[in-house]
Amino acid sequence: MQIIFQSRDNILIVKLIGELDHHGAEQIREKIDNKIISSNSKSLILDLSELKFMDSSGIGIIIGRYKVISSVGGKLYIVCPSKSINKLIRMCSIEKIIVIKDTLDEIIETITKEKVQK
Amino acid sequence: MRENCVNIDFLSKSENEFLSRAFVGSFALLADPTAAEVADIKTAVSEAVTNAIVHGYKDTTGVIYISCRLFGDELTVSVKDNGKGIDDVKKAMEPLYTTSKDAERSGMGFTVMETFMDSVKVDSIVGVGTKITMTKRIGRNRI
Repeated sequence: MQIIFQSRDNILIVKLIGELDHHGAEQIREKIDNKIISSNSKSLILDLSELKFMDSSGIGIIIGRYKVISSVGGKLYIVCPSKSINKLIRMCSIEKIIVIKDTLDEIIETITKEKVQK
Repeated sequence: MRENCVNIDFLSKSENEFLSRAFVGSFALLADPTAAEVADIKTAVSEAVTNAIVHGYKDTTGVIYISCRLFGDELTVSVKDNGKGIDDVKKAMEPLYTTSKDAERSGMGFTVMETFMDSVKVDSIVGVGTKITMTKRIGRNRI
């Protein structure tokens, strides 16, 4: 499980690479939370475009980060082009509370529009 | 009629989750599945193995036994532990039910298994262990 942090226009982008299971979830949870706090970003993007596998441990990670970023008044977005991971995410009805798009560009566009509307 | 069977046993360490689903996913390839079917099988196996590690053995380490069987186009996978067992299987299988709220478990493990496989059967005896048996017909949705 590899994790890459990137910051763009006060948006924190967290790219997860590899396979996210219970083992991987244990490794990345704290790292992401520490970065959320230190970056002070109000927009968090979980980029799952290079994630090859995810089970319900990943759902726990998503819901947990949703709670963390919401607690500081921020918002979580997900990039997920994978059909199998999308099947899992939508089975848990996550798309009802979190914006999910196929590409990072679509998410950035969504965030930009939301900022303009404010 | 195709018939084959393989078994694997390994310690209940989370780093072995990857190996367990790769093993079952590779065995399933014998039945010429679609990529989506392999993904479904690997996800269900990962959930069952995580259950054995997180709930069955909890803070201890034990052995997890996986048995895979192909009979025609039907794959049967069983994941067994000799852990503490499940007191109330019906309740444990309810969506969002989790005993480890602090660890961010989603409580969707059994729901995922039931959604991604054709059948899921759970046999558990408190103090003896748990055996999850799942089946899936492979190639049914192939175009």
